[in-house]
Amino acid sequence: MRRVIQIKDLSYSYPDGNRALEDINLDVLEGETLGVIGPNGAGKTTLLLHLNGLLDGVAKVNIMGLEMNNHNLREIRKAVGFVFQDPEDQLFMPTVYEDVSFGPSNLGWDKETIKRQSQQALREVELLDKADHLSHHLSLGEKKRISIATVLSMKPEILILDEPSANLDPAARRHLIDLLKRLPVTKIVAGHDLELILELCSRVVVLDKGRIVADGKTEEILSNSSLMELHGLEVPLSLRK
Amino acid sequence: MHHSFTDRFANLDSVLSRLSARFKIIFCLGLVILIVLSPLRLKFAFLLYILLIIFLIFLSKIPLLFFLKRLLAILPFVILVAVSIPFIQKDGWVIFIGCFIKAVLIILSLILLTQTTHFNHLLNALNNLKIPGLIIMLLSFMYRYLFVLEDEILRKKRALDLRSAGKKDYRIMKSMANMAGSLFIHTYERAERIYLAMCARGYKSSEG
Repeated sequence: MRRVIQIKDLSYSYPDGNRALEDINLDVLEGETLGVIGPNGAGKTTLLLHLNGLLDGVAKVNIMGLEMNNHNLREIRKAVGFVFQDPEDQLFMPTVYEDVSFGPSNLGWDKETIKRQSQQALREVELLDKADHLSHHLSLGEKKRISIATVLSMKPEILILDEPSANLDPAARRHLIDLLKRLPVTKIVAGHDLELILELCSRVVVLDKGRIVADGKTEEILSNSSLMELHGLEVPLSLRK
Repeated sequence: MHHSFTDRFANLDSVLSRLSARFKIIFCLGLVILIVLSPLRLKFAFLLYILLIIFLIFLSKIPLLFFLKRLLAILPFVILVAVSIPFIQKDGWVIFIGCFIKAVLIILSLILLTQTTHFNHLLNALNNLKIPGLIIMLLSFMYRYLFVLEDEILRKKRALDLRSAGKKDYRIMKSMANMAGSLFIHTYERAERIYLAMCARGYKSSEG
């Protein structure tokens, strides 16, 4: 299988000198769904931001065979769709359709393609009928799905989701999980919703204090109570015996 | 939460809301320029403007009280700017009153424009009229995040009310000031996150 993401010796410090990531080595295979878990402030979001070139630490990051540099940035941002935790950050245009077509229009596609891809993305999240609605009139679950549509419209090969189920009610969360299961792309999901990670991800990495402390099969790691508790986590209810 | 302040009455079905946004913008701009340039001695012209705007207000089906409230919110600024005129010029009072009338007419026509048009239609029309994309983007952000900001203020206000237990003294004022400060910082941080979200979807500021 093809390695779509290769990270070698990634370290990153915030401008104030705080070490956020240290010696991260991570490969992600094509079609894989990878979970990233860890306590608050472990560096999950910081790590994810590197995969889209939004932060650049000292490292070799390779996405879809492209080395992360200014020259490849555009290609990489097309290939990697990033869904932010708060839909209010992700949806910055007045109407749903304008938001979904924002990415494609930055890619310089022709009008017809932009329209087709945007509609296709809205159809995939089953919200085509909301195209002309104003974003602030949607429910949170709908906002979340539209957020996903805003990157699907760019035809990404890798989808990055930061806390996808945060604040969703159970029905909206279920809808989201089913949607994510259907999408055939490589996915990286970060968050504290361990049941969601368990359901979606075949592999999981545990991040603590900026380091990867465990990397392996989801069930093995999530059911390892001493490991989980050591890093501010717990074994999800469904795996407890 | 559902609220819309800038285009609250845009869903009212009236002759004005059915007109194209582009036409309304051009008409409104023309009217504003005409009012500004009309010399005060042309009393007849002003009578015409007043009648025209009363007629348009009538056509818009928007409650009169709403116009008065909006006027009251904006007029203090006009008065603040114009208040020195009577003291530094001969016939200053006449000029002051003239300014005042012109300002009221202009504000009313702008309220008419913005209240009878959906904000995004307004933005589309501005785009068609070749207004720079960056300005339109700023306006659209303003519109989009006004709501988010209002929700945030509402939540903070609630938390403050809850803990201030009905007291209203200088300490509450102090907390309100702190609240404004933290709101500013939150807004700043949100702006950074939004910029990241834009970049993540291939935005380059030089293209704006």
